[in-house]
Order: sequence, then C-alpha cells, then structure tokens
Amino acid sequence: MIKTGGKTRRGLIVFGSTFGSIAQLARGLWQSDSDKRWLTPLAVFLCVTGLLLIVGTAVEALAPFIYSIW
Amino acid sequence: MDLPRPHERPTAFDRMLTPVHRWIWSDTDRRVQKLLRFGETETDGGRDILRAAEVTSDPLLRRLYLEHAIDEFRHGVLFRHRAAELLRASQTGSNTGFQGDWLAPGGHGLDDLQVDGESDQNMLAFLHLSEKAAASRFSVYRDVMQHDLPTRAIFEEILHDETFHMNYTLTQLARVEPRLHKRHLWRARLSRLWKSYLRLATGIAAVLGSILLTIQYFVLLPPFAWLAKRAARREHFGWTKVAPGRNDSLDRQY
Amino acid sequence: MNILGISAHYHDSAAALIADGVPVCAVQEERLSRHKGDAGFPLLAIETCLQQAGIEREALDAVVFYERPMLKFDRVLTCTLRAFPESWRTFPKAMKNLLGEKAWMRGIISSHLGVPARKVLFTEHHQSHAATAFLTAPTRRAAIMTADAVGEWATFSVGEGERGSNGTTKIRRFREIRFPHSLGMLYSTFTAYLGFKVNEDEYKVMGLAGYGQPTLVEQVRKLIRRTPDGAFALDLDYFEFHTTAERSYSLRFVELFGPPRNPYEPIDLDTAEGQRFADCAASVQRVLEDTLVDLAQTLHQETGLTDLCLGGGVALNGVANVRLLAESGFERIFVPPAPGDAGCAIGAALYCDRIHFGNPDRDLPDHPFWGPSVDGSELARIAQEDGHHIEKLSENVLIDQIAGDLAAGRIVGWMEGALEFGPRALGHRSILTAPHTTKMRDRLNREIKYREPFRPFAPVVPVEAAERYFDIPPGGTRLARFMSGVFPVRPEWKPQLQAITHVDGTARVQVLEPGMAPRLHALLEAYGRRTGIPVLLNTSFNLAGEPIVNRAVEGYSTFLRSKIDILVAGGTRVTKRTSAMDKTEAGRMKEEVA
Repeated sequence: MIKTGGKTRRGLIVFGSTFGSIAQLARGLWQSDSDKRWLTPLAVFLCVTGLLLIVGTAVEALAPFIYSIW
Repeated sequence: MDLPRPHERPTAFDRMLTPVHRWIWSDTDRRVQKLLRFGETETDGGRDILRAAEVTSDPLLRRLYLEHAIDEFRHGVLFRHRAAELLRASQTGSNTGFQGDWLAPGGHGLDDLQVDGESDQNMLAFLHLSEKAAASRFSVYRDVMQHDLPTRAIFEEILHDETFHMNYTLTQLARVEPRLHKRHLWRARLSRLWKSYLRLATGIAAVLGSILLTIQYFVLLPPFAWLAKRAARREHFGWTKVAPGRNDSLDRQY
Repeated sequence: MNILGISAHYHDSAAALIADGVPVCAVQEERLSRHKGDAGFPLLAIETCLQQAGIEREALDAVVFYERPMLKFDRVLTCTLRAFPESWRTFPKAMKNLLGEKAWMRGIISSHLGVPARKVLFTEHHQSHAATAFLTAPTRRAAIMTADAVGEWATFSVGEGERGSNGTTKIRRFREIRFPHSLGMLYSTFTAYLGFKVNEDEYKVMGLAGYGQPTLVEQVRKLIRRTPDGAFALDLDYFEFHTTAERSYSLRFVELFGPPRNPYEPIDLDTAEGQRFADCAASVQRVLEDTLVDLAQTLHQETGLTDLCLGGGVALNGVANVRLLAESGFERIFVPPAPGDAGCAIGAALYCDRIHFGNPDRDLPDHPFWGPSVDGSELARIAQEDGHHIEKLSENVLIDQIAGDLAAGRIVGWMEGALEFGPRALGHRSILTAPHTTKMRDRLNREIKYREPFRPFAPVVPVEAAERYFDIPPGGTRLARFMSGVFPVRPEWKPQLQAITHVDGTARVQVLEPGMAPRLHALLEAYGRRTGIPVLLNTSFNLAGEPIVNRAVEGYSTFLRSKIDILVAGGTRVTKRTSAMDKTEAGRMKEEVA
C-alpha cells in the first residue's frame, strides 16, 4: 500500500513545486512560436493566486478563512 | 393519511424546513432536478454498498449489503423514471436546451467514504446513520407531495426499504461489535458532523473563490481578451508544423 | 530501468509500468476503484503496477505524465480570453479546476509517490498517443495518425515512426491541427446532441448510425470545412464547447438539425423523430470517415509507407477504421487495444524508455492482458460460503462443460488470467453466449446489460474460421485482433448469427489467435465441435454504468445481481443456488432481519 502522507504534507510538497512550474510556463510563453509574450503577466498572476487554491485544498477546514485573506 | 411509524418521523430540523421543501417540490422543473439528483445519489450509494459487499469477509453482511445495494439501484431507477415522466408531461418545446448531465451531477455516494479501507463496524454505523437521516428527510418529502401522488408513492416505497436498511445495519452492528457498537455510532455521528463542516467550509470557499475569480475576470482580463482576440484573428486555419526539437526535453511542462 | 506512465485527471485515468523496456502492468483506475470512467489520480493503478512488478516506488527511474499541464493551462486561458465576455461563468470553474490541482502535476506526482520532482517527466498528449500506437505495434516503420477531442492544443496529428536496425527508435510528428478545430469534438457534439454522455457514449452514436441514412451530410459539412492546405476547420458559429462547459452546440446548430434528443427518452426508431436522430448519427459518421480517409490518403502519398498506426479516441471508431483500410492506400492498420487517453500511460512510458533514455527497442507481447490476474480459488471460497454450487474442474473438462452450457443457451460470465487494458473485453473478462438468435440478444439486453436495443453485440471467432463467417479484407485480421474493425457478416451465415449481426449486416468481430487467449480459443473450438459454428457472442463483463469486473469477487457480485447462469474463474465453475434478485428470498431475509 502506498503511504501518501497527510493531505497537508502533500499540499506543502505541491506548493513547493509550483514555483518551478510557473517559471516553466513563463519561459514557455515568452519563447513561444505564436508570440504569446503578452499573456505572460496574466498567466503568472493567475498561477500565483492559484497557490491559494492549493492551500485551500490542502487544509479544507481552513479554506474559507484562507480566502478571507483577500 | 396513515400515521407515520416512529422510524419515519422526521427530525425536528427536517420538520422545521418543511415549508422550504414544500416550496421546492411545488415546481415541476425543480422536482425534476431533485429527482434526477436523487437518482444519481441512490445509484452512487448503491455502487458503494455493492463495493462493501465485495470487500467484506463476513458472508451474512455480504448478502445483506448486496440486497441493500440492489434496493439502492432500484431507487435510482424509480427516481429517474419519475423524472422522465414529469419531463415528458411538462414538455412544451421550451426546454430544448435541457441537459440532464448538468442537472444531475454525480452524487457523492456514501459521503466520500472510502469503502475499501473501512471496517465492517464503521461501515454499518455509517450506513445506519445515513439511512436514518435519509428516512427522516424522505418522510418530509412524502408529506409535502400531496399534489403529486405518483412521486409520493415512490417516497413511500423507498421509506419502506429504508426501514429495513436502518434496522439491519443496527442489528448487524450489534452482532459484529456486541460491546462497543454504541461507541461506533457516536464516532460515526461525529464523523458525519465533521464532514458536514468540511462540506460547508469547502462550499463557502468555493463561493468565495468564484467571487474572487469573477472579479479578476472583469477587472483584469479585458485588455488581455482584446489581445487574445486580435491574435486569434491573425491565426491561420489548418495545419501547424510541429517544430523539430519541440519534444526533445521531457522535463518541460509547457 | 523502471518507468511508470500516468494518464489522469480528464477521463479514464490509468497507470502503466515498463521494466527493462517491456510492459509489466497497465491498468485503468476504474477497474480497481469501481467507479466508471474514474478520472482521479490513479493511486490504486500505480500500486497495482508496483505490486505486479515486485518493486517499491524508490526503484522507479522515471514517472512520466502523458501531457504537459502548463501547455494545457495556456490553451484553457487563451480560449477563455477569446470567448470574453461569454466565458465569465466558465472562467472561475476552469481556473479552480486547473490551478487547484491539475496544473501542478509535478508536485502532485511527487507528493503522492514520494519520488523526487526531477524524476517526473512529461510527454505531449498526442506524442503519447503516437507512441502508444507505434511502439506497441509489430511494425518496423509506419505512418502515424492521431485524432481525439483535444490534448493540450493539438486535436489531430500526423507523423511517422521508425525502428532502426541498431535498436534506435524515432517518432516524428510532421504537423498538427489545433483546438478548437477537432474531429473528436465534432463527433462529441453530436454525442451530446443525441442525448448521450460526451467522452463515454461516442460508440452509441456509431451503433445508432447503422439504423440511419446519411441524409444530413450536407448539413454536417457546413460545420466542418476543408482548408486549402488539406486540413479541416470547424465553423465555430455552430458550437459552444470552446466558450462554455455547459453545452457543446449552439442555437444555430439546433436550427440546422432540429431539437436535440431528451436524454431520458428512449430512441424509437419507428418514429420520424427517432429516424432523424439515426440519420444525424449516420451523417456525422459519414463525414468523419470521409475526412479521415482523405487525410490518411495524403499521409500515405507523402510517406509511401504500407503501415499506418492509429491513436487517440477516434481510433475506437471501428467503421471508420475499416474504411481507412479499404480506401487510404495503407495495407495494414494498427490500432492498440487502448487507443484513448488511458492508453497514453503506456505510450508515455514507452516513449520515455525508447526515445528519452534511448534504450534499445524490444519486441513487445502483442496482447492487451496487462492487468491483475483473477483467482479462481477466491471465487470458490465466497460462492461456497453463500451456498452456491461450485465445481473445480480440470482444464479439458471445464472447457467441455462450458461449451455444453453455451450450446444449451446458458449465459456464461468468463474470467481468466490478466485483466484487459482498454475499453474492450477481449476474452479475459467477458460475458459469453450463443450468437445464433435475436432472442438471445434481447435476453442479454433485457436481463443483463440493460442497454439500448440499437446497440450491437460483438462476436469472437478463431482466426482459422474467421473468413468463413465474416467478410474480412486483407489486413482486416489485424484490425479485428483487438475488435477495432467492423466487418460484414457473410450473408449465408446471417440467419445463424442473428445476435451479433448489426442492422446493417456487419459485426465488430474479434478474431482470436490461439496464442493470445488459448483457453478462450479452446472453448470456441469445443463450441464449434458441438454446434458446427465456432463463434460466440462476447460482451464485456459488467452491468450498465459499471466498469468491467476485475477480481473474482466483482464477477461474483455481478453474477448474483444479473441473470448470468454460469460463472467461471480459473478452474472454478459456479451455478446459482437461487438468484439474489429472487424476491421471495429477499423478502424473507428482509423480514427476518428487520
């Protein structure tokens, strides 16, 4: 049986990996063949706000309070 | 009207909500939606109970769970058929856009219970409380359905089954856990309470998230939408060459 | 080298493990979780793969996800922006969906499996389809065509694959067609319009097409036009799938084809309305076939190759595959047993092994049986506990007895060996019956499968006898290996093969070589000796809305809930004491317990 650890621990690992993923997205958009540089700021901004969603998913019980940070 | 048997009496909370339920069920479209949703939930619940029958090592429980699952599948069919009848009867050509799929999103079966990993005790306690809650709610639905006798008859029939389900789960819990069955029931009650809170919390979070994202949509997106539409107009139809080397690195996520 | 491939999060998730270049296990999550079309992270499938290989997750050299999540995010965001402001309802849902989980696959995989993030790799969606199609096919060099609804951006691609004499492997994709222009989405839109479930019930449209005439082809051609460079483009005025998740077709589509079907009303083919739906299905089917044939002809002329490997969900369309074989110029067409997204798990892992790590090419076993094995003794134990009649029989006696059961008109639940990978039951988890009468077909529909009467059942026949009963063209046997082609039943045999002959005189036949499923082959021969016709009706071992059974206990519960007469797993044969559906017994039990 695969022991996946707690939801919070998994959430932290996912959270930690997001920065590399966002960097790849930004680089990809910046260098894209179809000239999508203009999309980079929006995509990065949305990904950063998406981090809240990860925290919300990882800690369900606190989800509404996490959103209230906004 | 027959007097309800004790196990079919709604809880005080459900009784309090009777006017709301009466309002919901008074409208045919809402009734159809509710019935479709119930149909999905009963079917999903049936699948979970079937799974319980497949994983238990207790032969008697296996047979009872199987019987229970068959009942749930039948309830699902009853609900769906009734919804289809109502839909047929109310069809005036105005509902051409009707999409059953989004009207009846997949139910949650047994409240996201991981059947494979649950002990018989937990499963029975959980089932008992679920059936009890359903019986209470369904008895209210039956009572507010005086204007729709066929739907009322369905709730009546299902309530009869729920009685069996409530009773067998309780007697079997006492059989498999003679000393601690009450403790299991309490644990299941607390677990249901906690899950209700989680559902509420994630529900509120989902609403807050939607509001935030919708604000972002209208505040942030317009200039980018203009750029995207301009870029789309320039895009050519047809083939796009796959540049050599595009797939060289498997490290890339973009 | 151990490489795990994962396909997840859209529909039908799966995992596959390649050890030293050869698949050890491949299984769809739904078969283990028992939730049909389970799209969740395939933890159970991964666990099964590791168990079957006898390794721990630390021994994994790489984990490959079948598509690039950030490229997908780019597509979703771009399409939302293009559809501004109509997309305002879709945007929050799409962002929550993607940014809440799906965009972060490296982290998700790493957190679930405990493998370092650097070991998590990604292939492109259509690259995975292409790899599944080419790397599992017994061919040295072939053209590759992939078609589905959508991956990241690509919806259709062409290319070629080559196995070098020095063990090197190359897959090159020449060009692609991008979202929203998609053959898969065109077909899925009709699936939704005809009241079926998108991404699940496309095969029902194909079945319904047999009852209709392509009288609406001109209307369908208004939805899809050919571009000057030989590709195709959809007229987006007729669609809404690119702007909203709620509906695939627009009001203009409804104006063109009439009101959509109510999903809760049965299709009555004796009414004008029912016939209109069948004609719609026949028309979109015809346009799909014409387009595919034309694209494949161009690819054939361009590559000059004799073999074509087909991948993507569209490759499940057996009628189109047969037209491709007949008209595209390719002599052989290879369709893997799991050409859809689930199959990408195996394709992504093989691509990583052969091309990313450059490991030498290996011949792969040419069968679909990569899942967990069934345990006959488990069935014997539970059936005995419940007081059913069980027999443990030697191989020859069992085959003979089951052939007798089938000849006597009994319905047999047949489980043996490893579970199939892919949507078809190819003889290891099947319901088998005699194929001779419509009465049997109706009984199966009514008492077991509870499905629409217009859907055909498939036959299985030994390779030696296939051409006697079915009109199979050169190259057709290969397509029929994994039930990927629909072929005419020979007219003289139609009266004896009524249960598997579709209304248009065809059947989606499985041609069985003895090496692929020796036991089923022996059963077909034994049945042939008794009845003179070695053909059986072979339908998947599941009930409506449920995934195909995996373990003996799941076959057993299906057996009890339906009117299957005999259940076989391994050497165990079970007959029912009484039906679990028997109302008297159920009533008594309820009274006793309640």
